[in-house]
Amino acid sequence: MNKIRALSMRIFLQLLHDWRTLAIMFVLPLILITLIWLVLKGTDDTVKIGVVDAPKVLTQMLEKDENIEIKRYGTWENAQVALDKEDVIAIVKVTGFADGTFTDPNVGVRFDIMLDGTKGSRSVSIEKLLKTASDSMVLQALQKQSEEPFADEAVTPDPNADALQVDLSPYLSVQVSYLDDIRDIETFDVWGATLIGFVSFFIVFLLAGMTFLKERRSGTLEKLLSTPIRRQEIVFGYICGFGVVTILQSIIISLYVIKVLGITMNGSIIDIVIIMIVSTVCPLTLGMLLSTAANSEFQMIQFIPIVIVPQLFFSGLFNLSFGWELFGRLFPLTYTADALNKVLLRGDGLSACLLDLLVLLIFSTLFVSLNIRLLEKRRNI
Amino acid sequence: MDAISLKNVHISFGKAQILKGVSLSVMPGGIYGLLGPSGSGKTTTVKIIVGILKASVGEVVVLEEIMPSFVAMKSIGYMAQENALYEDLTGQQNLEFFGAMYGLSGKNLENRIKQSLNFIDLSGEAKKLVSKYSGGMKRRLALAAAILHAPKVLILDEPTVGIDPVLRRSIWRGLYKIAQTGTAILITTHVMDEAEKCQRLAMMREGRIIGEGTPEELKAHYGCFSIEDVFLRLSTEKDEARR
Ligand SMILES: Nc1ncnc2c1ncn2[C@@H]1O[C@H](COP(=O)(O)OP(=O)(O)O)[C@@H](O)[C@H]1O
Ligand SMILES: [Mg+2]
Repeated sequence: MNKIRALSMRIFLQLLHDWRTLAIMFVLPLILITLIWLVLKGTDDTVKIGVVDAPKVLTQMLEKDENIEIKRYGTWENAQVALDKEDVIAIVKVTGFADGTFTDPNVGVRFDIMLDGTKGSRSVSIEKLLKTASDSMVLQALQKQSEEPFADEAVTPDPNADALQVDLSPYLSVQVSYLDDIRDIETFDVWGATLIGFVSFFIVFLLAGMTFLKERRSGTLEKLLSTPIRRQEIVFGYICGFGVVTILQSIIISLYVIKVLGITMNGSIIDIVIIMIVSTVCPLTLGMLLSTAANSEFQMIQFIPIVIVPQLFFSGLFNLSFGWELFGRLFPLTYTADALNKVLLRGDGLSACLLDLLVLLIFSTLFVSLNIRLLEKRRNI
Repeated sequence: MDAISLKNVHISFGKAQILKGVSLSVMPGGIYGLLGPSGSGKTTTVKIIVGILKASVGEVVVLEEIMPSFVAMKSIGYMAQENALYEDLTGQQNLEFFGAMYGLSGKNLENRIKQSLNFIDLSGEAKKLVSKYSGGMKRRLALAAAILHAPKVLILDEPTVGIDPVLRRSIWRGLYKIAQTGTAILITTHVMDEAEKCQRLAMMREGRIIGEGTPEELKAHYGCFSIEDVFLRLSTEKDEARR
């Protein structure tokens, strides 16, 4: 136990004295994630919404948001063509409203909203936005009515009340439809989980592998093996030493993507951090294992694409056929991405991810025991 | 009882036979030299003794334990040919780490580190990063790391390479002192004048021991004035015998 502590302390001290490695550990992932985020966030930030017969109040309300551009169409059919061609992300038609008030208060307003489902959570947020806009438009109209004398309305909304507390259903009906089913592609929110997991995996894998390789190349591994330390103590010492640093890294990455980049986050940040921490044990143990197996630094470099590339392709970035999806289950990153997605997008708790985390730990245990066996190549005791 | 005993040790890497029947025995309390040109198999022999490599054939016993053995390893100090130091740690931190590997801790570890640093005259530089050390300083620190736990068997692989003559002399003086406490010291070298300082010598060539004895015995036996002559004489004899 003392030896494991001394070894992990040593690794920690070495990292402290090595600013380059520290930068790779803490700054590089943030840069990589930001770059990916910028690319995937979409080239243009403006969202185009097509409107048919939209009252001025509504378009003005929507255009307050700088990122929203309104396109007017004469007929619903024309608007649908534009939506189909992906000129606009959503189209809205308003009936029963003119000059800031209801054409017929007894019928109310009807909103027809149609959205492009392929934009994933972006479409969902536009849907929310349009619903809010319709609510406040109707609310305004109701307020205006109640100020007029002889208003024949039984319900007089309290101007101070929250819009959501008022039952608007008699005056407003909203019909939402999607052109396609919501397919979760093309957005950072959806790829995000995989990519965050991937960036962290890649960096921890490289660092653990390279540090262990350095230990071999500098002759210190042989010196270490000439002392009465056990092989498993070496492996666990490494895991503990690096573990401290990867825990920090996990926290920083999680906070950054959630608080700074503002990735869609429906779950608890603590769950995300826990998933990230459990996930980094895999690349840590795999990196060490492969650098024990490698005969040279060059061979270690050769391992990188073999380990890294398939993970990226088969761990949920693309919609895969069933066979390939099964193949993807061979890679740890699949489980990391799955767990992160559950918490980030679906807002599930940690209990929904227990199986994923268990599989990750099984992978790690496998790598550790293989590594202890392989070290026998260096000293058979 | 021998501190180190090798009997008919063979080892091959792939197809290449590197050691072809090495036998030697080192008594406690003396400095034993393993002399041979570069590539003759000294480092390989030494690695087998410390337990990093396993002989394919033959018997290796250190401190009455068949190697590799954790019991024996606790009492072996090993200074590798390459420095085997952590460059991104200070000298002090290196010693603290290796000390912990031998189970030293607390006051005991502190004292041993002080003594070892004094021994190689590096006390003033202990707080510096090893990457800022000169070649000679690294060599000395590696030596300090090998003697830290007061081992009963001390194995030094070309310890004085890159160390200036003045310090080299003081290190040899120190090694004699360590040997006097009953430690068995095995030193490999390819420098002939260093071989003369050993109490016993084994001459190695192409994975075989070609001569063994005290420097005086060897010189007298072959009628030579220096160890260098003995070595050259033995080498040519071997070549002729092969023809
Ligand atoms: N791991 C290894 N694999 C293959 N050959 C090796 C290995 N280690 C040493 N050798 C070879 O064994 C021979 C003896 O090496 P070594 O014991 O280092 O000699 P010395 O220490 O006397 O210079 C050399 O020819 C060297 O190339
Ligand atoms: Mg050598």
